[in-house]
Amino acid sequence: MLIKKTETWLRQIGQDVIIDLSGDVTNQGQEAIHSAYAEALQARPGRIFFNFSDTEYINTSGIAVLIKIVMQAEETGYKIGLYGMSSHYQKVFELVRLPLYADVYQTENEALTEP
Amino acid sequence: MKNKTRIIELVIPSELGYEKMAQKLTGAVAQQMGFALDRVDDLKTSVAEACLNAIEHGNQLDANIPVRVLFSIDADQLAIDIEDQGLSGPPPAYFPEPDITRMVTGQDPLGHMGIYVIRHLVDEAGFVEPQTGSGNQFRMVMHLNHQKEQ
Repeated sequence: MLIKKTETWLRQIGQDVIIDLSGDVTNQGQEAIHSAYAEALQARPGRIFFNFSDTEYINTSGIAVLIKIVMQAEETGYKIGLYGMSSHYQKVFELVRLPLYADVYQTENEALTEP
Repeated sequence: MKNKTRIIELVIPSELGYEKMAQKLTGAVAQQMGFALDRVDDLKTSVAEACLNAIEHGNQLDANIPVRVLFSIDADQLAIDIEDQGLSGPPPAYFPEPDITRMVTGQDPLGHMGIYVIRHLVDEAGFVEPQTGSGNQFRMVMHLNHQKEQ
């Protein structure tokens, strides 16, 4: 299997929850990403961030998974934050206008210190 | 004397994940040709997306049916052709720009972003008449601008 399994870890920092992702971000990681998001919601966080620092390959099916998360976030009044992706994938996120619905940061520190 | 086009051919099974093999080879070829790193990444993502379309739609995820990836290397450009069996029929004549707002509000289905992304990452992209006479052939071209790359 050439797709690296999407794995997730949750961390709580203050009122915020960070979902650390590793592996590939494709539609095959949908269950893992959605489960992590559901678990994050249980903590009733202030904000939820996805950390892409440990991901290598993101394709548009993976971006569709993120858009589905955004849909859920819109319904519950959360704003999602994304950080840690390469400048290339930042560009791809901007191409599909994902920043309209998710805040994009360069680093974890920038994400957490944003008011 | 005009330089002859050099051809590299890769054949991958129509199974999700194998587009990463085409992506890796694309990176190696593009770097060797001297493309700037951001353009190398653009090509890699574009080839992966084009292969995914061929795997999922053109060959209907049948691992026994191959996707053919052809790299045509010239002094001033790299052309990459992706060939599949066209099992989902001929490609649409028009690919609308994906609208994330319509996806988020449920008015449009999720996805269908691959061709749009490719067209914004490479210099030229589109379906061409298949040289095998059947199936689909998707071509991407990236030009080597020596003034920019060197």
